[in-house]
Amino acid sequence: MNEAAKILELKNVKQQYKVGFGIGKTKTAHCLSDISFAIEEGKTLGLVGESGSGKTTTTRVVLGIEPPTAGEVSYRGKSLSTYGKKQWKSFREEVQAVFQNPLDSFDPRFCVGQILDEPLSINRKLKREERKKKAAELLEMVGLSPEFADRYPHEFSGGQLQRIAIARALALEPKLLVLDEPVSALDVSVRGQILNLLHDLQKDKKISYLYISHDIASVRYLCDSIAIIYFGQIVEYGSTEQIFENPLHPYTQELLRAGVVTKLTDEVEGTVHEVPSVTAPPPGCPFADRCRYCAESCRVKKPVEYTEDGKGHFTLCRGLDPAKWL
Amino acid sequence: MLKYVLDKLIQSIATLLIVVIAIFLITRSTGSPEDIYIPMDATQEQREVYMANFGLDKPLPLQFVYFVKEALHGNLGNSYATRKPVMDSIATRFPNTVRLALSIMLVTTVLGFALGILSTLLRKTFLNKFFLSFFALCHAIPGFFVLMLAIDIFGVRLRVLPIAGNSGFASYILPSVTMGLLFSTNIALVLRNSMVEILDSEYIKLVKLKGMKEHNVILKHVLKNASIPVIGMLSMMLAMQLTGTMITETMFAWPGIGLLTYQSVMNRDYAMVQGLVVVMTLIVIVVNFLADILYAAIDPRIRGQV
Amino acid sequence: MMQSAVISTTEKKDIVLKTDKKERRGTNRFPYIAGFFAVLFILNGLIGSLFLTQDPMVVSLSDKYLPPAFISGGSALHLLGTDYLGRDLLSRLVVGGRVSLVVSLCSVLAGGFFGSFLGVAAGYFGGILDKVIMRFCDATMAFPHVLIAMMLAILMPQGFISVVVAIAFSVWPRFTKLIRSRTLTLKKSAFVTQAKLMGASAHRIIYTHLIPNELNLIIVLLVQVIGSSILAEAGLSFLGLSVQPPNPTWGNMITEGRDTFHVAWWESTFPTILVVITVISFNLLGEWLKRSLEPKKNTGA
Repeated sequence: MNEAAKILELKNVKQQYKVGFGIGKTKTAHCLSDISFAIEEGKTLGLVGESGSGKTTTTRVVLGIEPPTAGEVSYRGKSLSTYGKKQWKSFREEVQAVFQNPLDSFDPRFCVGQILDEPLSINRKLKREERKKKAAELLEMVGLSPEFADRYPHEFSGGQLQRIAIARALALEPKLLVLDEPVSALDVSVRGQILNLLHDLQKDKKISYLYISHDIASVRYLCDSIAIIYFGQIVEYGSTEQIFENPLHPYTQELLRAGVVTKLTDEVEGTVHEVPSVTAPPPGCPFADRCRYCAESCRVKKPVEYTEDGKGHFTLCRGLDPAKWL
Repeated sequence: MLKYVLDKLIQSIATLLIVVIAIFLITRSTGSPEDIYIPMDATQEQREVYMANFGLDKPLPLQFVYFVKEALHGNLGNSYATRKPVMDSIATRFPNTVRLALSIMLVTTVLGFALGILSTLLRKTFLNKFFLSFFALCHAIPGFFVLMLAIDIFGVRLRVLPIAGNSGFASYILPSVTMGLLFSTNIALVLRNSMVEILDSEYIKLVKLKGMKEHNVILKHVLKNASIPVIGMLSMMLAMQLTGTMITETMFAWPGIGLLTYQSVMNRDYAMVQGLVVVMTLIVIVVNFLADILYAAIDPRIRGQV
Repeated sequence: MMQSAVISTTEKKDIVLKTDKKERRGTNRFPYIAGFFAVLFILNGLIGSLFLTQDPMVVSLSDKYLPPAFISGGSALHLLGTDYLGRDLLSRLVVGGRVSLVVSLCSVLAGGFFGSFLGVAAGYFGGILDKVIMRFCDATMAFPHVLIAMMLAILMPQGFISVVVAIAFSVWPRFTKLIRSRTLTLKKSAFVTQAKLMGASAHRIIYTHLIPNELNLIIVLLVQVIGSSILAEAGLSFLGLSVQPPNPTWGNMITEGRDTFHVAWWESTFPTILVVITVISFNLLGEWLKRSLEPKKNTGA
């Protein structure tokens, strides 16, 4: 990937939070430790992981809601930490998000027309009539009737609400859309429609997506490249084909086997292992407890280097030898 | 836990500081004692001497520092009216207020629990409406009217109880029982709501245990948990009582700090008022502080909050 | 074995039915009587003085201590009797009711407005501002309120403004704490985050998203607090810290009747009855409002 085409890049991003109160009792939650990835313009990067792995924290850092404790988030080559007022203004227009829970994303007192009007009236100098017209266009763009503008969020189904959320996100013609599990809360039957909509919109408008999910199938459909996140680290990274044809990291292999990210059962012992605590990270590889290939050295020393297999396919597992893991 | 205690301590001191500054500024701004305590025909020189005596000739911040310094040694200045130390008057009157407060709180607690438990036990009977109406009534009636009524009936008409001053055990009865009864309904209602909430959620379990006889036993267990919010109320009430409900003390000419405050304000004796406010605020803060600690000791979840 | 199983299932059904009925009975019925009196109170405040048959301020010493009309010795001219200065009680009650209404409304609105404003600020901006505001809340709650009323009454002897400020002063922390906690919750919701992502300013978020979603909470607290503010005014009247006589308030009418309570009980009793009815009515209304806002616990979609 050449530098110019990267719309978003994270380099060694660390995110820590202080938890607990006061002297001697403050603990640090290590939510992200060394996240690096990049998104190419017009393409989709899938971020796959289970709950608690740091997906949501990553979105907050990417969206500029929180500054990272360490590392750099760069949009179009410029780090967010260097932003002045003007840059933030354009960032806020070009980067938008769609969140998981459709009903929470809307102010219950706003009707759909007002919801779509809000980004326009903040950022554009259009007259009311023009804004109304644009809102109607947006509704049509996502497959909804412009008559819905007078209705309120609680009158709609989950699928329709997510369409409205997408419409709102598109109002300012963004270049990057962060999609945080947009279909996870929807009925299985509806998911396909929304995914298709997202797919078509991307083709049409050349928007880049950061697609976060724990559902492998949708990731395969929508994403050009995938990053697997576990315990605040990217454990594997590559193009969609690479990941699906040749999953290197043991965690990825489990994911593909299971089809969806849930608590993995250790087939040998038949127990469910929990993710280690973010305030007390283990010294070795955080996946050690759940890894079927875990060696003694894995528990002692954390893997820190990425091994590359082929072009652009990285993994964070020390015991990388394709022959061994079959 | 220690961290929680320290936090609360610092908060309390901050609060106290704010109040002391506030009362300091207020008393200085609502007219000086010149108007009342300095003779009208005093010459300018004499006025200056008076003001120096009152300690009012120095610039404001200096006065404040001086006041705080002295206060830490227990000296709250001298009353404008009597020229005697404020602390003395307070120290003399405070015990009276404490005694009255404690006796009111005794009645409040006993009656409060009794009524609370009773109304909970009987909540499914026709008496429920009566209890709730009684509680609502007590919340809506002006306290001093009830006192007036009680004084009239028991003190004047029937002449069975004393109605002025503190002249022994009997003089506690009227104020304590009357105010105690009124306040007890606050406790009773909170207790009742708390118990009903617990009981209703465990209703199914109770029925499964198939023992309505066990009602009493379970009530005791429920009582323990339900009492937690009541503690907060009681501490707040205690703080209010100790800072001398001026109304009660005025009604009964009870020589406590509430009456003293009223008189001092009316007499523009601001040195006294200042000292009284500091003492009262300190009381409230101490009581709240102890209650907070008690709460935190009982309920570990609270320790995590700031 | 079968027998007891059957019995226990029917028992269970009965229990389930009983609790169903209970839940239905527990649904929120509007307290019509309370509403009636509340409306009456407000109407009295607005137009009551148009219907007076007597002048509330006229002193007529020859008529003093007339008992109410339904007791021997009373006169039809003074339906509820006269006070120690021969003034008609009924008309004074009407006018006094207006004063109570205005005082309680003003103080509650002032305290509510001020308190809510601070609450939003503390909740939204957090940090030092939040800590400072909370300390002032604590300080206010620790301060003996009657004292503030006294100080104010001296600053402005006229009475009305001082009592309004005094009551507003004792009321505002409740609003601040409530609104602050609601703001904290709303701040975390997705739609506020979305607004920020669109570049909405703090000003816009507060005025278009936070406050409208908090208004219902504020209104409920306002109604709940009116009752206690009427009582507070009465109490302050007793200490001479409210609107001064000869202007009537229910509070100072009760106080004026204190010395002669023994012989002329009606002077103090009628105002008290009115206070009690009004306060209960507003309290009931407040409770109904609060219950209407609570999330419904029944079977949803």
